Amino acid sequence: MTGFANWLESTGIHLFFYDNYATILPAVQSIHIIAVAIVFTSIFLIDLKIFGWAGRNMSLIQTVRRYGPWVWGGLILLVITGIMMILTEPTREFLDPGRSSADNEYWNLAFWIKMGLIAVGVLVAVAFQRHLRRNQEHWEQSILTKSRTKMLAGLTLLGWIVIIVMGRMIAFPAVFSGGGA
Amino acid sequence: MDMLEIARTLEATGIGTWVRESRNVAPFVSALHIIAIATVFGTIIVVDLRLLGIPSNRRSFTQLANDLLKWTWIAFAFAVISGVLMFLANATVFYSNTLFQVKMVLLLFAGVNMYLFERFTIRGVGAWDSGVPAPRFAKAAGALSILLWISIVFVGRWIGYTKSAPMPDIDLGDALGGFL
Repeated sequence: MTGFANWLESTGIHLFFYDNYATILPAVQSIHIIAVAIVFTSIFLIDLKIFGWAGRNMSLIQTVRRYGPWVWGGLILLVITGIMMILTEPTREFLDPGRSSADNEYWNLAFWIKMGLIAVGVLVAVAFQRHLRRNQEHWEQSILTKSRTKMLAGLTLLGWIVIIVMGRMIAFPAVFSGGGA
Repeated sequence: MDMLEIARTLEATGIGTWVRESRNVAPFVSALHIIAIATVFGTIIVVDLRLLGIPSNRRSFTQLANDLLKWTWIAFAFAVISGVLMFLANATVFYSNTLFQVKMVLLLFAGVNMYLFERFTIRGVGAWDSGVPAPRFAKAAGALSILLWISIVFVGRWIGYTKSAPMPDIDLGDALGGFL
């Protein structure tokens, strides 16, 4: 991982981002935060519909058609800005630079937990949309009313909250390592 | 007692010291701030876009506003609590930070815009609640709100880059410890 990070740091695109650090990075991070807001709120609103706390004048499929595209559009924006952030500071994203040395590398746990949870979250979202599209009536009449469905929706929402928290923790590896700040 | 004196006192309070000096508190407070902002921003933008007729004017505006704005307020309360905690930890730095002051003014504008909308524009909502485009004033309020909230997010993120000295040209890990 150190080798990969070092290689990224030798690329021209990294040098470009890094040389314009103070202007590009905050802008990219701001767009990242706005995209987080778009994705999180869209998922939140679909979950509110599943809980029965909002959107009572819409069916579930209407709610998903309304907010689903924002989830995917926002995710694309997140991937683009996320890659730009990695290219700017690969070592800091992949590794815990405070603890890593030449022969002992420590991974930035928050980053890798976040990546793993995103993979799970996206798979769950794809599976949900496919299942809903194929079993629309069953969802509206039966699945939606089950408390297990609401619990699962709450669990996925919690998962996305953890993803956001992990994203913030990338900047604070000491939270996981227990070392000094 | 001048403002700086007040800022110093705030910073020296038990809560301020606790947030500043414990290893894990500040990271989690700022994570909470992000989640709160995401919910405030997202729910407000959905309502603003509806005023602009996006995706359409088909569904009732009041129903949408009722569904969403309560969450906006709950999330806003969390944003204020986490924001105050971050402020207390470094009150003297924030108090003299221009971008922080800009952010507070932008928040005030967003509040005034919302107040005027709720106080006056909303009165005629019966005529445009669904099926027809919102009047020009309502659309303007929605567009202004989107602009203000995007600015608030950008300025807020930029505060983190102006709190300390400019980037020195040294080891990334060490240098970044300073900002965050």
